[in-house]
Amino acid sequence: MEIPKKLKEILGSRINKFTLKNDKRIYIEILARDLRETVSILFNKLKLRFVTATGTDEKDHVEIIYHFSFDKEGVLCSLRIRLDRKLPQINTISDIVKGSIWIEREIYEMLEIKFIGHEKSAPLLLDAMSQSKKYPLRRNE
Amino acid sequence: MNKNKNIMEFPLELKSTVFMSGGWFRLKVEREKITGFKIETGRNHRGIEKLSEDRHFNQIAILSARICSSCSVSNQFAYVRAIEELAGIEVSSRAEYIRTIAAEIERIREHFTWLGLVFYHLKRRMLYVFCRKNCNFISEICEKIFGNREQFDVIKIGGVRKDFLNDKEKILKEVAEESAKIIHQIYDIIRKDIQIKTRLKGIGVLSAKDGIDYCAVGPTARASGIDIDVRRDEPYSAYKFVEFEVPVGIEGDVYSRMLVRIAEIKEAVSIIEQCICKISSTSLEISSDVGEIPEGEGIGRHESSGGEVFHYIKSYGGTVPYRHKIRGASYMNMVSNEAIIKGYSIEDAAIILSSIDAYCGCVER
Repeated sequence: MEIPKKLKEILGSRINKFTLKNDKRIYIEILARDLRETVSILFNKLKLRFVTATGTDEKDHVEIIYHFSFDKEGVLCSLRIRLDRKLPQINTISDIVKGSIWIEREIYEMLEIKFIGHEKSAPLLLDAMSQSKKYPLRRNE
Repeated sequence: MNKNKNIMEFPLELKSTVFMSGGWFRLKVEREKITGFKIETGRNHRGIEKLSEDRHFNQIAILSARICSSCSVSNQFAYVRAIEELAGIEVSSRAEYIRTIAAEIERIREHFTWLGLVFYHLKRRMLYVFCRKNCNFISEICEKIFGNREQFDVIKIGGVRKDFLNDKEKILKEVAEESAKIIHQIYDIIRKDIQIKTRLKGIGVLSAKDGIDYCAVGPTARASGIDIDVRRDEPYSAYKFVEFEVPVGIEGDVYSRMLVRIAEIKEAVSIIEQCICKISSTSLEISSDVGEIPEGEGIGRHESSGGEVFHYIKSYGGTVPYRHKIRGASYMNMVSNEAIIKGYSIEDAAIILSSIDAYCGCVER
């Protein structure tokens, strides 16, 4: 149980809610304003691998979960961030983690979550020429 | 033609009905050197994550196998692991062995396909035919064991669909022995063939730093010295009960990727042989009772031939998931293409881009 203790110590007051689901799965809820700092600590300092990010349209908010992997220990640490459903936007992490370039583009076109500072906004999977402003994973679309 | 007369832009399509679902690229070339690169995505998007929202949990296991032809077992494996984590379902050891065997057969077949693809681009027809022949042999054996040549549909939530190995261990041993024999012969040829070595060494280099920055996975990452493998790092299924090595390269070039994959075939053969030996001592139970899937979230990972496959499930109870996130191995590896292609000659483009698994089916879902 060293990893949860280490994470609590290093992330300190940035943690809003800490959930240890089992030995291999940790969920940490943080505020959107702490994202870049937290990702920088996990990726650059703790040398975690960025796995992917999951965007979900919940009933009263939208959320993004950034999944990071402690590869040597086989533990996944998921950072959960809740965003306003009407105007969801968050800072990009694509300049810190190059591997997140595509997933941020995808989350924008699927869920209309804007990534502030992301260089490319062209759709990754949907038709770039389409005039339709529909976001497939939005529940009211 | 660009404003600068020396820069040309042209499309490159890696598509073959034999190999894969294809990849579409646009290269910017200046005096035969690649200076710019763009991947054209969006031609293979099927909206599988959206489709999952109104499919029964059991139906999604079948749907997951259709995400990508090269990692159908792997996607199914990762998906059911996510559900089993969410619902706390225990799986019998016989089912775990059958799952592992199916996953390793798929790994051997896909690595042979990958080798065939590289030989195809090298214009080495005999070696290409050699690899394809073994792929066909594996497919024929799979038809005898699982009933399907390509998509086995072996795995279901809580276990496997039926006892596929019932008295078929002998046929399975044939696959292992034949694959071991062929990979030994191929390795022997590659080791002695200076042309292959000089052609593949030093091209498409992905440095360890770039591999980490772009979050590369699987043999692509391991060939660059990044020692990751979910089967070893988060032991699951029958990987807990067998011994195997994780081959790691140093150079990060196409040749290094080739050697890593050859070594992985040898390890896969060893895993299958160990599973066959150990499966006889297990009980005959192959499936656990699956009740209603409760509210919660679960993550399933599996190391496919291309790298880590990731599935995330969120459920609010009922019969369908609220959210099903899928991330194939190629999704991370194709982003790293940007780092491995620039600066190389246009004649190397096809080999380099093929060497990191350009499976658009996996990427676009």
